[in-house]
Amino acid sequence: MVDKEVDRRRRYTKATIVLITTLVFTFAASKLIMSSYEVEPIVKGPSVREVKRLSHYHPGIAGTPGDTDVYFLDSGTPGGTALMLGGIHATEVAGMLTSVLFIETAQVNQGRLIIIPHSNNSAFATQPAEDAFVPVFYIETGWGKRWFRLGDRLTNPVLQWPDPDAYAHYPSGQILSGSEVRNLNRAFPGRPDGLYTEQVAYAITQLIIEEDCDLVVDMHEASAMYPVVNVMVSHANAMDIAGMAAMTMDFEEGVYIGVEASPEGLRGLTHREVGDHTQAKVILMETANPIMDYVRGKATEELVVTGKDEFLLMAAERGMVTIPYDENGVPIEERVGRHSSGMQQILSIMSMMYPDSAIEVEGVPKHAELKEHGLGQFLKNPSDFSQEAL
Amino acid sequence: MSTFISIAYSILCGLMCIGLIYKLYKSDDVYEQITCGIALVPFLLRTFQIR
Repeated sequence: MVDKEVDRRRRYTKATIVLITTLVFTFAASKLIMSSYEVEPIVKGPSVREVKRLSHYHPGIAGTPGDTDVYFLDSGTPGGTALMLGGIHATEVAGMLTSVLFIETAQVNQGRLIIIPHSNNSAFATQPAEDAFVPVFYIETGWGKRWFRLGDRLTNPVLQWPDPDAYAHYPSGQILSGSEVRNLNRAFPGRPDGLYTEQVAYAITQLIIEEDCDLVVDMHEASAMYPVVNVMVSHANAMDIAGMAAMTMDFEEGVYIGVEASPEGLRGLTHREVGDHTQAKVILMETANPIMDYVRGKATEELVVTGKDEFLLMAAERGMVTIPYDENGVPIEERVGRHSSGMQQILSIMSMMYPDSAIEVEGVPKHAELKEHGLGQFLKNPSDFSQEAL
Repeated sequence: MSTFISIAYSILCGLMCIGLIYKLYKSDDVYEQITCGIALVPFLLRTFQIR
C-alpha cells in the first residue's frame, strides 16, 4: 500500500516536471512565432499625409497578417498619382528598402505618390523552406544599425495551405506549378472571394482603381544568373515611358538598364494584369540579388547587404552570370540605387510626356549618391521620433 | 466558413491537449511521459491560435 502511494507520487512528480518543461518550451516558441509578425518601424517623411490599411480596399483581409500599411505622399497640388509596390516578394529586399527610402525622404511637390513597402506582408513573417535564410538583416547607419525583415517569396502557408498540384490562374486559366498559388505576382488581378493571395492582389487592384492611379511601378529582384535582371519590364501602355526613362538613366547617370515588353501569354503578373484590368500604366523593375541564386553559399546577413558570394563569383568567371559580377558583389546601395534612379526617371519622363499626370519628387538620393554615401546615411533613426511619426 | 473551421480545429487541438496531459499523469513510463510532453507543444500552440 505504501509502495503504491510512493510510486504514485513519483509518477506525479515526473509528470509535473515534464509538464512544466513543456509549458516553458511552449511559451518560448510562442514568443518566437509572434515576434516574426513584428514589422520594422518606418518614419513618416515630409510628404506623408495619410496612412491607410490595405484592407480599406478589400475588408476581407482586415485583421490578418496580410493587411499592411499604405502611405500617401500628397503634394496638395493637382497632378498625377503613382503607386510604388515594394515587397511583393519578401526575399527581394531592395524594393522594400527603396519604398522605405521614398517614404522617409521624398518631398512631393506635385501630384501624389502612394507607397506600399510590404505588399505581401504575410510573406515577411515566414522563410523559404530549406533555404536557411536569416530572419532579419541590418543596415549600417550613422547612428547605429537599423533592422529589416527578410521573408519568403510566397504567402505565409499558415494563411493558405495546402498548395494544389497545379495552379490555375484566375481569370485566364493559365496553369502554373502548385506552389505559385501563393505567389502574389502570379495572382493579379485577384478576386474578392478567392484564395488568400488572390484577395491581397484584389485589394491592390482595387486601390489602383479607386485612387485612380496613372502609374504603377513594381520593384523586384532576381538571381544574378536569371536573364531578366537590371531591366524594366513594361506593359505596352507604358513602353514609351520605360524606353525613355531607361535611355535617360543611361545617358545622365551612366547606369545601364534594359527594357523588355511584358509577354502577353504570361499571366498573373503586375506588368500584365494591372495594365490589362485597370487604367494604370505599369512598369516592373528588376535588380540582381545573389541570395536568390541556387549556386550561392551560406544565406548570411552579410550576403543580403553586400551581395558578395565566392561561388557566384566562380559562376561569373565561367560566363554563367547575366550581369557584370566581380569580387565587389552587388551591394544593397547598387540595387536600391537602381530602383531609386529608375523610379525618379520614370516619374520625370511621365511628367514630361503626360503633363496632366505630372508628379514632381525631390530629396530622394539616386544611384550615385547611394553608392558614394551608403544607404544607411539616408535612413532615419526611428527612436528619434514619437510613436505618431512612425 | 474559414473562421468556423479554424475555431473547430482549435477545439480539437484543445481536446488533444487534455488527452495528452491525462496520459502524461497516468503513465508509469518516463519515456512515454516525455513523449507526451513533446507532443503537447504544437497542440498547445494551435489551441491558443499561435501560428
